[in-house]
Amino acid sequence: MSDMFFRHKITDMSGLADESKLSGRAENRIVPLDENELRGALIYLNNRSIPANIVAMRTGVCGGAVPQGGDVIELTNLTGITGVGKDEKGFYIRVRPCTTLDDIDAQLLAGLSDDTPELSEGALSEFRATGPYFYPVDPTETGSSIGGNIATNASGPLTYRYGPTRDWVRAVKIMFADGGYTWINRGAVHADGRRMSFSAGRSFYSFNIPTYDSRTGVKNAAGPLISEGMDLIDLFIGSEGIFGVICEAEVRLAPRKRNLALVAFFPSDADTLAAAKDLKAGCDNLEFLEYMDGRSLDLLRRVTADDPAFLGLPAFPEGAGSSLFFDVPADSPLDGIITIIGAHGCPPSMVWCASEPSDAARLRRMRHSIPRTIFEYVASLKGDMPSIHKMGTDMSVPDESADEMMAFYARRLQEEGLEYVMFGHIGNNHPHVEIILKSVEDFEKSKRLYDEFAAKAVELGGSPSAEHGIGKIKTHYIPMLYGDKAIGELRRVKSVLDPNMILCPGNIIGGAR
Amino acid sequence: MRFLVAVKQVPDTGRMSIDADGNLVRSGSTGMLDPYCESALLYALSLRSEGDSVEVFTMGPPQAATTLKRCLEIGADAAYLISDRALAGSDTWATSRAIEAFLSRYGCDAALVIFGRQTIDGGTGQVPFQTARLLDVQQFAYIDSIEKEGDGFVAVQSYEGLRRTVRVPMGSVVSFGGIDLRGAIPTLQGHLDAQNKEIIEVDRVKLGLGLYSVGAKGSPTKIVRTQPNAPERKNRMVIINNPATAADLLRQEMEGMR
Repeated sequence: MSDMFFRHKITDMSGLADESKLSGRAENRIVPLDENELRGALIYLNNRSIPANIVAMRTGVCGGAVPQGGDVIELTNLTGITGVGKDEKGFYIRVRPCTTLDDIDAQLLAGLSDDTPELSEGALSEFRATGPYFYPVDPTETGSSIGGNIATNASGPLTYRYGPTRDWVRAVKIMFADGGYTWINRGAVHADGRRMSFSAGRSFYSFNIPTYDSRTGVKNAAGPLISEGMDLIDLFIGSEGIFGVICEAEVRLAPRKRNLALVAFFPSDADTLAAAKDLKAGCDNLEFLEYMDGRSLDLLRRVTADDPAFLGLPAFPEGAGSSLFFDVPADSPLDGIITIIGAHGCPPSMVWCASEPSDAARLRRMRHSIPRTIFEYVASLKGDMPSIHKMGTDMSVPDESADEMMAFYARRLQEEGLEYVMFGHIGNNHPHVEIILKSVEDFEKSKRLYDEFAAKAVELGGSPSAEHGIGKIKTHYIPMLYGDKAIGELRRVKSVLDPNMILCPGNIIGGAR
Repeated sequence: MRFLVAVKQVPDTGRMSIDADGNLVRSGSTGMLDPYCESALLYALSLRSEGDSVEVFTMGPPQAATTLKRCLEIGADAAYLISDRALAGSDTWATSRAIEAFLSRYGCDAALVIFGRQTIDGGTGQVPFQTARLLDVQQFAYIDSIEKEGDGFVAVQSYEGLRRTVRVPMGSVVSFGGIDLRGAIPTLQGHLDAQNKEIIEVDRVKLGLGLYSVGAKGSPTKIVRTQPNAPERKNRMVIINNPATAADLLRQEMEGMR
């Protein structure tokens, strides 16, 4: 074990972008082989006040992993499940930060390897005897890393039933800018009112947490979860690396169910949205509830016209004008669902139904291919319009405001004459609006419009960043949500934990050098 | 008319990987319908008219029933599961013999016996030919399309650039050459309909097969060893700063490969 590490000069900046397609720039790349090298790298950079941009799989869509100067620390070697345990709440695994959700799922499905360390006595054999289990947070991009998921408090379709990442994190091992590190277990340290104090290694930290309370009750990934008496672990979940580096974590598992995956096709968007509302009210067995509007289906039709194998699925049924995608446990009754969707023009013959995992995976790929297609389209425009980046909306609102928000989207998009698709987590009143950019003017217009949408969501009691985080391109949403003092208060916390302000500069509180 | 379609459950390729020792890691996979077989089933369903039936059969362990269920959801009218511990370890010849015994008892009135060209796990493509030989019926491979005509069928075969239109008599064995890249997906109506369709289980005794003619004991193929195909790589690194020199070197290397 060594704290030596290599710094490689970066000459080609093209690989520094994430899925936001924000352009990045950095001096050197450091790829630690293990935690010791990571520690060595942080100490080296901290002593010289060189920005340290922490990067994993670059699947974020807000530029959180895109450097704006300094060095890049890529965690790609820190992978693997390093333990399994069981406590009073059930099974959990210990995992290194750059392990992807795909890898975690595959290993859990395979029952973990024989040499997986047991964090509690007999955990591995009991895990195998009572399984299978799964990690239930599904941020659509399953090639994303668990560390990135925790850093952004990621969520996705399954948040409808299981909540966001935060609810599934048992503990995190945080490494600070000075190389000190500590395990933080949920429930172990709480703020005394608004005063947080804890020790890590040889350091003792004590500071005031911000005076605002984070918005709860809706999906919300706008920074850490701040509240009076808050749990210390919640300061690091969702803080996008600005306070410390997640170098290991323990996440909880849930029993894996056998599900039916269903895609119901309706005549129109109005029918679909009405059916969604009735399904939410009348069915308590949905694992998630996703929306693909008529424009999304048209987009996929256009792509598959050029490449029939793109989706690996048959053509949509005749008369399919809009759709809902949801899972239900395979052993649950379907009568209620059939009645509800039938009342909105969708008979069982207009519903795709996957009982085999391979078919369910094909339906998930279809849902994911909508943002994927947009990402690739935006990337293709970068040559002619380097200043643009993807600007998907990420707003959630409470149930009672869902109709008003949807009407606002439709009216303003129509008034501005922009082409768009709408899809996503309708179960959480959190659809994504993606504008199909045609020009730099479209981009500027859509930026202004997105800010309008964000302000409207905040006015209605929602969040302008429900699951994508803040990154570098949405920092103005923090004062919009929590007031003008919020950035300054978060910056003061950072100045205690990261006095040289080297960690992930630009994220959440701005100030990239 | 009865159309009998051979299908097979294969490992779910989305849940498989190869470990450092070259072994298949199935990650708890439950398996999936082989894509060649799925395409064959879709062809059969497109041939079905009023009064016809499309029936699927597979030889495999009890869990292969899930694949038959999926075939019923896609639209098959009936399903047969040929399953018996004694059938385990069958090579293509023993498999063909069991299928021939099944077809002789349960499918002797079939208008066509339909296969995919091969399956993605074994990839031998031998079973359709051997089954036709054992049944003593005609075999038509690499079928692109097929239609009913008169008291039989007309099919187009396509193989290595050659296309041939042939008459296919009733009772023949046909195998389709391609995969439908879009694949099939069941509907909820198909799922509900499949709840009322039975999977008929057939064991070795019902097929009248002796212990020594099936499974590993009835298989002439003996696998001695399996190893990954890992060709030796002969890389070398050359550092050249001059593009013209690099181009010359590439030209020489490419000429040397001719």
